[in-house]
Amino acid sequence: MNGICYACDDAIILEKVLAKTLTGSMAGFRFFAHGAEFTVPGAYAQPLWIKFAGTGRLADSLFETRWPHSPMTFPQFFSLVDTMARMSLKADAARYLFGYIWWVLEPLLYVLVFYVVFELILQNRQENFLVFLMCGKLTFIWFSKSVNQAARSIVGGVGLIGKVDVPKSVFPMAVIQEGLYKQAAVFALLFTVLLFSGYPITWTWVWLAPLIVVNYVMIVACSLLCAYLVCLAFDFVVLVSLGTIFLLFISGVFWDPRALPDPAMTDLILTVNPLAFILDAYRQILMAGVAPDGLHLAAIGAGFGLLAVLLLLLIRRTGQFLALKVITS
Amino acid sequence: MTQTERQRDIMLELVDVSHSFHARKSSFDHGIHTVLDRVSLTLFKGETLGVIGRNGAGKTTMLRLMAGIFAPRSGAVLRRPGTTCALLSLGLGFQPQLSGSDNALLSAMLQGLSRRAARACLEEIREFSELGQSFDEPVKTYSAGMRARLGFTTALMTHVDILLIDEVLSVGDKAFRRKAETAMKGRITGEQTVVFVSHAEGQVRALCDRAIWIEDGRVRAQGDTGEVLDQYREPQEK
Repeated sequence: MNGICYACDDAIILEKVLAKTLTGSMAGFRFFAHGAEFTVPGAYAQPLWIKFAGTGRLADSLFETRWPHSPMTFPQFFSLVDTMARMSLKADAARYLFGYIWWVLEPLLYVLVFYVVFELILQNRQENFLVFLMCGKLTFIWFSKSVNQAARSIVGGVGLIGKVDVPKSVFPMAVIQEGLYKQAAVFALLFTVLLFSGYPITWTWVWLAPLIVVNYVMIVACSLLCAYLVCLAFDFVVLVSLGTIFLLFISGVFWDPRALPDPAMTDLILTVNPLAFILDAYRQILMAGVAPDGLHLAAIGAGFGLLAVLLLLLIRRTGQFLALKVITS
Repeated sequence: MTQTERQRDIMLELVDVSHSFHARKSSFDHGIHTVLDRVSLTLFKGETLGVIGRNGAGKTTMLRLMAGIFAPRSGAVLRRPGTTCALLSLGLGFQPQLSGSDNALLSAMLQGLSRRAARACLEEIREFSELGQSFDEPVKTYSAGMRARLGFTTALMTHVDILLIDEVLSVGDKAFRRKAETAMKGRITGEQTVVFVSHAEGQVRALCDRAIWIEDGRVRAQGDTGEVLDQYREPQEK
C-alpha cells in the first residue's frame, strides 16, 4: 500500500484508511477518487464490496461502488432467461388438464366475454366487430398479462435470490419470454382468423415486424418498471393491476378511437397513449391495409427502449438492495 | 509460511463487516435491526469453517454477505477472483412449481455452467441424491429432507468453489447425512472450501478444521473447533 497517491490529500487519507482497515489485503484492487484511478500493487483478492461510513473527509460517497465479480455475458443471460421461460411453460402445461391448449383458449375466452357484452347485449355498431375486437384484445392481453406477472416476478423469485447473486432482471425477462412464446401461437391464430374472414395479405403486413418489435420493447420497459416498484413496496401490485384495467378502458380495445365524434379527441388519445396507438396500428395494418405513422412508431420504440435500458442498469446496480428488500419484506 | 503464500490461499475475507436492515413490524414502521456488528474473518482454501451461535445471531446473514447476495452496510467483503459460491439454505433456493431436475439445471446454470454442461450434470445429481422418480416431480411436493438432498447434491456435483451450508445437513436422514459427510470429507482433502453452519455440535466437531462463534452479531470466539465449542457450551450450561 505505498506510492499510489495520484490525486490529492483526500486520496492520501483514503490510502491510510484502507491500509489500516484492510491490512494489506487489497492488492490488485482498483478504485476511483476525484477523477483519478488507483491501483493497489500485487494480485490478491477481488473485492465484492467495500463501504466506509464516516471515515473522515472522503466519507460515504466514495465507496458506494460495486465490483461485479462475474458479470454475466449476454448469451449466458439470454440462455438463462430462455431456460426459465421454457421450464415455466412446461410446469404450467403439467398443472392444467388442458395444458398447452390454454395458450389460445384463454385469450379467446376473453374475446368471447367482450363479444357477448358489446355485440350481443349492447348492440355495437362497429363493422366486423369480432375481428376488430380480436385485433385489440389479443394484443392487449399480451401486454397486460406480461406486465402483471412480471410485476410480481422478482418478489416471487425469493427462493433463488436468497441463494445466489442472480441478476434480478432475469425474473421479469423470463416472464416476458414466456409471454412471447404464447403470443406467437395467439398471433398465428389471429392471422388465420383474418384470412378466413376475407382480409387479404397485403404489402402493408410488412409493417407488422417493426410494430411487434416496438410492442415488445414497450412490454419490457413497463414490466421492468413495475417489477422494480413492487420490490420497493409490495403495495404497487394493487396499482399495477388497477393501471392495466385503466389502460384496458382508455386504449380502444373494444371501441374505435377513430370513430369518436370529436377528431381532436382521437388525435389526443392516439398521441398521449402509446398503447392506443399500437392497438390502432395493428387494426390499420390488418383490417384497413394502411401503414401506420412510422415516425410515431419509431418515437415510441426509442422512448421505451431507452427506459428499458435505464431500468436494466438500475436493477443491475441495485441488485443487492433489491435482494435485501425481497428477503426481509 | 510467508505472507504472500498465506495470501494466495485466502478464498474469502470479511473485514469489519456490519449489516443492518429496516424491519417493518407494522405499517409505516421503520425500525433498524442490526444483524452483524464489525465482523472480521478469513476463509482459507480447502478448509471447513464451522459457524455456531444461537438462532438469530446473524449466521445466515453472514453467509449471504459471503455469497454476495447482500451488500454490507459498511466494511469489506473480499473474494478471490473467479470463485463460485453456493448457499444451501433450508426452504430456499428452489422454484417450487418446477421439477427437481429443472431446479438442479437452473442452479447449475446460475453457477455459470452452460445449458449443455448443466444437462451433463443431471444424471450424476439424480444418482447421488437418490431421489428416484421424485427427481422429475415438482419441488413443492418434496419433504425438507428431500430438498436438502437435492440442494446439497446439486452444489456438490456442479463443483462450486465455496460451499456455504446453512443447517441443511441436519434435516436429511442418517444414511444421506453420512453419505454427504463422506463426500464433503473427500472434497476437503482436495479443493473444496466449506463454511458450515450447524447446531449439531458433533457434526461441527467431526467436520470442521476451525470454528467461529457468533453472538448478537459479533464474533465471540474463533479458532480451534474443540476450544470454540467448549467456550460456546459454558455459558449455556450455567
